[in-house]
Amino acid sequence: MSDKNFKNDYDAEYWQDVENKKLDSEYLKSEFQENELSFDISDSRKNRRDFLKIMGFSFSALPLASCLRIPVKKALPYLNKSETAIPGVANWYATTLDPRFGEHLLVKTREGRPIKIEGNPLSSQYKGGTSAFTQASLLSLYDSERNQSPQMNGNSTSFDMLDKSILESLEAAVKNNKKIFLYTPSISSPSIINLIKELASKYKNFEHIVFEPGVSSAIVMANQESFETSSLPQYKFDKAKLVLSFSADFLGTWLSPTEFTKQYSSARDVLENDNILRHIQLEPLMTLTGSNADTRITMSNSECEATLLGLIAYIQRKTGTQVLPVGVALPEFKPELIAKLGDELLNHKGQSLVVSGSTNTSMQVMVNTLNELLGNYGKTILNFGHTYYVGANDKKCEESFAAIKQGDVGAVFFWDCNPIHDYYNGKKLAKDLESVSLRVNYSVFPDETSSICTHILPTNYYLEAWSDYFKAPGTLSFSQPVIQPLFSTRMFGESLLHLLGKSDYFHYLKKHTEASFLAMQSKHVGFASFWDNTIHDGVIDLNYSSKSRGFNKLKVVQHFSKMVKKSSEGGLNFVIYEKVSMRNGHLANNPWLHELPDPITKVTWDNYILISPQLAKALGLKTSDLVEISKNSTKVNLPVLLQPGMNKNTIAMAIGYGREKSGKVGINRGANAALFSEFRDGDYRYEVSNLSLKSLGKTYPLAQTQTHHSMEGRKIIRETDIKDYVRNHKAGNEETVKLVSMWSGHDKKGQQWAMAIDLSKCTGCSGCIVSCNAENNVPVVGKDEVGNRREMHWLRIDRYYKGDDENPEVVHQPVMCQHCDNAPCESVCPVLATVQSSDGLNQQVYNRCVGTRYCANNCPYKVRRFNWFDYPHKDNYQRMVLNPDVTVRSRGVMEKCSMCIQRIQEARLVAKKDGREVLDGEIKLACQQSCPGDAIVFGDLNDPESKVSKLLKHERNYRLLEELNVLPRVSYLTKIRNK
Amino acid sequence: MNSKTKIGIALLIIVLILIGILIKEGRQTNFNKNYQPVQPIAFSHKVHAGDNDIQCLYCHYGAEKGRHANIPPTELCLNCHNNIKKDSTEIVKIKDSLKENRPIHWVKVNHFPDYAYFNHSQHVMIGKVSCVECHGNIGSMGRVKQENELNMGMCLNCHREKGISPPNDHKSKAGGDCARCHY
Repeated sequence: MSDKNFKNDYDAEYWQDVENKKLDSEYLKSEFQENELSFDISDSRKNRRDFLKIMGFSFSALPLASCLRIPVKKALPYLNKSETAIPGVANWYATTLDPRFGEHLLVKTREGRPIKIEGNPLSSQYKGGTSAFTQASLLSLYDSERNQSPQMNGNSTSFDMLDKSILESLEAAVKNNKKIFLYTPSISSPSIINLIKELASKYKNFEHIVFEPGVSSAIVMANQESFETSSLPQYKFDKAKLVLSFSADFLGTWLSPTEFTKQYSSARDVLENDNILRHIQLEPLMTLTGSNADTRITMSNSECEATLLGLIAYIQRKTGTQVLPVGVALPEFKPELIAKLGDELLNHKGQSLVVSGSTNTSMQVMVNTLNELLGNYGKTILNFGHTYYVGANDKKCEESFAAIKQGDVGAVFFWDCNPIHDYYNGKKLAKDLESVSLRVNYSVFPDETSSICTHILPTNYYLEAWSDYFKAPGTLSFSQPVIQPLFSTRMFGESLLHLLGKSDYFHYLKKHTEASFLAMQSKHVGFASFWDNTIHDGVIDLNYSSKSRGFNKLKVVQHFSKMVKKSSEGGLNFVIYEKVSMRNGHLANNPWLHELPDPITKVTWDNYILISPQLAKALGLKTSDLVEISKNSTKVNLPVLLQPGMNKNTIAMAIGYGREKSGKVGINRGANAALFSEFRDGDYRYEVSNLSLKSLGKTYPLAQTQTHHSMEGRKIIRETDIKDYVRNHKAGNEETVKLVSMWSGHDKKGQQWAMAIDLSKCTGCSGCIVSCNAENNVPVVGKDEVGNRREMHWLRIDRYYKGDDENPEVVHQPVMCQHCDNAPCESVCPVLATVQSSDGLNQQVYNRCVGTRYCANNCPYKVRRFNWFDYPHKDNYQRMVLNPDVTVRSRGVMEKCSMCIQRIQEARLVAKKDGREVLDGEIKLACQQSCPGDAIVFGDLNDPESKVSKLLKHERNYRLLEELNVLPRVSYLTKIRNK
Repeated sequence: MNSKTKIGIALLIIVLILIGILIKEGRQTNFNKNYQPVQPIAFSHKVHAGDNDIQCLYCHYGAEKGRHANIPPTELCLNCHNNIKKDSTEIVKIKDSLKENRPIHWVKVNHFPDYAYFNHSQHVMIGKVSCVECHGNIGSMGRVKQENELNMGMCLNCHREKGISPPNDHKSKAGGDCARCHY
């Protein structure tokens, strides 16, 4: 290919790699240089002698093997016939993952083992979507490094012994007038909240403290001040026409990302509505949400705050509603921008939504004020003031830690939280805790906090436990056990009951539900029917309404003066953020999450310092250079990663890494960002200033799944603006190619499968990738192999940048096997291991494949994956997650997306048994099912009524590399922005 | 011809024969035909399915519901044997297994490779394939033997006979795509 081809207008627009934004032919050549790899692959090479030895042995072993029978295998039947468990037939159960992370779910079990998690379509909030985190949470059930048995002072013991010892110590604490603290994360389980209330009334000096640093505590505190309710409302992004977000990553990590992605995607569905939601994001670092924004403005956190204050002032001036104190001069900040944003917001009164990801309560109070000024409460923010949520209170938390230091505390209980790691001064807290004689830990996984506790009572994983959850605007859901506890564990609720001298949490939960919620619904008559149906459905929408609460203007004034008085920031600004995959590090020992590429940076297995290209240039840094960041005596060494769209004075680092006590997957991976968090003005703050950064002159390789990113001048991404789209539906997709084929084409009779992916609805959240991993037994290969470009994910999401690197536009594009009609892989396979099926799928036959890798080399989409090793499934617990309907591939075999052929076959079988055709939408592929944006549509292109055949005919439809005439069955719909 | 040449030719013939055996044996995929292992309990299909004419699906009820034609739960044996021959040594073994909560370790007769998917219910319910077509006349077997080769050739012969196209018509009996079984 001549250099000329690389240089056209299209390339100048899109780019992906910061250091090599300018495409020169030297760089393009380097794509294929093996010695560019920073990872050692030498030990995987055998020399010629080894090869001959192995071949000689295999050759002589073949006739021997052919004379032998397969080894004797045993078949063990059930002893008692189960009514529901039929071998080979899946059972589905509805359950819930704590709304802190998760959604309303359905769990697929085979022979009693959960093997797949899917969203519960009955959920009115999540509507069947799930996040990558939830999908991966399945694997942690089978984590053999979980807390397996109750322990006292490091020795295994029984729960009875522990209960006795704890009760004795508690009595002593009460007698000595010492305080008792129970630390938990935020709780939305009504029964647990009630149990904790009972505990508080039984033991004097008992205090429940929610330790949950991060954005939720600031929002809860702000709601307390503005509305006198410490609850989370329901945000309705689908009711808004304009969303203004101050660094809130509401599509990735902010409060309830799956729910918001569902709403956001439906509000931006141009197939339904031309008047789509417009999204403006102001943020210091490139979040997943920012990457989807129509207008994104990079600014530091203090600039975000100034903009917000300016907006309030502007809007109160325009509307004449006074909320801010009169006569106080506001800092003058970008008046044109504020006027522009302010006018847009005023045009959407009651149809806008302002959110913030700040951990600063004052900032959240101001956001509430702006929403109040715009009349958004009751329109885009619903149902304040329910009592089934206990949120964080950072001030109380800090006071409790001070009390521990003073030695006033007789007992501490930790449930599901890890302050020794997540608290900025965890090491010192661990030391202070030595003075507390009773330290009890209830947790699923061993962590830094459990390691300093005297009594460890392992709790059931959520898939083994009963629980209830309440979520605004009034949805009650339940977790139910879908498997017997794998280890000697006990539900947290059960342990709390034992502290009250009672037992049987399941019975308690039932009684509590009957007393609290039966009257709030009219769907079911009688408790038995209510209970059975709700457990079956997993979720029920109650007739719940809380009394509306007035906005408290007085408090706003205090916060306003606090914000205006702010001292000026110096040095580098530092932001701690949550990664879409790792979130707060709760599942730090989960290999699926570690191997999931970050949606923006595409880095696996590590955390790193995000730094803007401009700052990197000034400091002479490039990606993978090791730096030391420090503030006072806190120092951390991490590699940097150049991130376009970063504010130039801000660096950022993800929380949830740097675990010192975890399993072998999570331990010592990256560094702990919480060390830099601060307690400031009553909040645990994730925005810190005055950091210094120093290059160490060394490098540390980061394993990225995307390192070469140019589109090479091809129209892989097609996009347009809504205004152009309304005028001409083909806008951005005008280019057509004239195609000549040497093949006569396949016979397209019967069902012919096809897929359409809406780039406007895909947010890049990566839930599909983990869902695919779980469904198709995709192995984890580890950091080094990812670095060698041998990751096994069947589905990847390509991320492209466009425009200037200070503030680029971003596009996400999921790419899996395109199932070409004229598949280039098929014509080069010497053993016919990959062939076209009669329904148009490109089939990969593992037992025929001899591993020549010709197909992968001939695939223009680079979607084929080769098994370089036998990826072990030796862990007896972990292997239980394998889907028994999908072959586990061995070394030397090529694999790729099969369009979940096992699901197609299953749906066909069901239809055949019913004597009918497969219905449109009946087959849901794993990626499609979990997609919270509903971006993926799959179906029969021969059925003129099917959703996919209509999308294929749509003007927005295009296929990747159409000019090659490989005729993919996967097609894309142009991305529509609303600038 | 000197002796060296003779030895050479003899060696060549031996090598050729060995290669021949290798090719023949190496291609063979029905190693398990006629496999008739001894079972922990002397269960006779002849007595049950043959003489007493108990339907296959009474015990192997999974065959019409799902992928596996299950081995019956131990409890199911006692549906009859609580009353019939309840003191026979073999029946006592079953009762003990239930009492001791210890499943019987039956020896698997028919192996199916991991890289192929076979669904009993599809064949029993949709294909209307009778059990004996693959498993032979079980009702005449005291100890069960693998009667047929149960290899891909056998599958395909039947699939071809029953009609491969049109591929996705719900009335059609079989399919010929690789990914009907291999995924």
